[in-house]
Amino acid sequence: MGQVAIITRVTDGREADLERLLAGLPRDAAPTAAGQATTPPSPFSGALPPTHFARFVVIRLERDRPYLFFSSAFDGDTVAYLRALAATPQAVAIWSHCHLSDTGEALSCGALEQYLCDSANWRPTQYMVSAVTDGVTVAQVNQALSLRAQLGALMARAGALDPTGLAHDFRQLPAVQALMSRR
Amino acid sequence: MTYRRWGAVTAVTELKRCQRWRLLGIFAFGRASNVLIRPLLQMKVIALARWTLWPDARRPTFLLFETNWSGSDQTYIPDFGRIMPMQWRGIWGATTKFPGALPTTGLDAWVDVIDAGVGHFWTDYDAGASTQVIAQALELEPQVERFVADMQAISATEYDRRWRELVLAVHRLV
Repeated sequence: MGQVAIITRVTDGREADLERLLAGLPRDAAPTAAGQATTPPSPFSGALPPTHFARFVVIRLERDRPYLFFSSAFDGDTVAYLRALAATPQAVAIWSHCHLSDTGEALSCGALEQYLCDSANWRPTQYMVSAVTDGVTVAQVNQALSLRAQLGALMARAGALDPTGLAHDFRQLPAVQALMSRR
Repeated sequence: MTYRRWGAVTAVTELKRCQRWRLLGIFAFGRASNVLIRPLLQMKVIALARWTLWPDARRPTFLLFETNWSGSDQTYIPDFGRIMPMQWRGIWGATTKFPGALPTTGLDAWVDVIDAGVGHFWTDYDAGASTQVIAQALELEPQVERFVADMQAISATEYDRRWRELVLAVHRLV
């Protein structure tokens, strides 16, 4: 599992705008009495390599100054991940609120990529704990979740099936077919 | 703290003076062995926890702590404090204004103060996933894979018998 953390000074006077921008991005809704709410996808889902968990948050560090804290745990190479992030218009909009250089020019994808991919700007994490074992990818987690859901559904109706029908339905489960194709 | 599909905390705490070696020692031990964090992992609630020193590990002045979990945000921090008070003291005892892990009401109130929350958060895990469900799914998969491998060219009756064995073996994971 790759991981990266980047902390960037927010430009003076832009903190409230940045917080509004972040709060306006699609996010998980709270569950209701009827169950999980429909969750609109984050603009970064699918645009970036698979992400275990990622966050943007404005924090206050020395002298109570605001900083943008971005961190992510993901699959794949760090530079490739950050390149993909820099290519999204939302990332450019977010980091446009930050102090990346003294030139005063509008932030471009290229300049953001240069900043994000410079390992001098990465903050090494001293200690990380993950419930998902290192090496297990998001795709593997999601495959396992699909298998669990499909097997659970088959188990619920297995009593109504004869052995031949059960074997047939089991082999027809998409997650089981995916397992068989891996063999 | 806000409740979403995944709970999220981003806690920012200022360090007392001269805490560098203490924290680096604890984190090095944590990287070498999960004995300190094992009680928390066994709860199958926490998904991720990460500690970062700012501006760097040479002269740190702040400790950043990020965590994600699935479940109630009313119980996560109190449970965390109750089962691991020594670990809290070890790490956050290096920070200013730490009230102690117990009683957990004080800890919970303190975390509310130091938590910056999340401005934007995402995960690519399928909707409805939780730490416990992910753990069950990852444990289930190799058992089903073995079942698939063993089921080649056997009779329907034998298939039925093996299926029942599988159900008995994995029903707690489904």
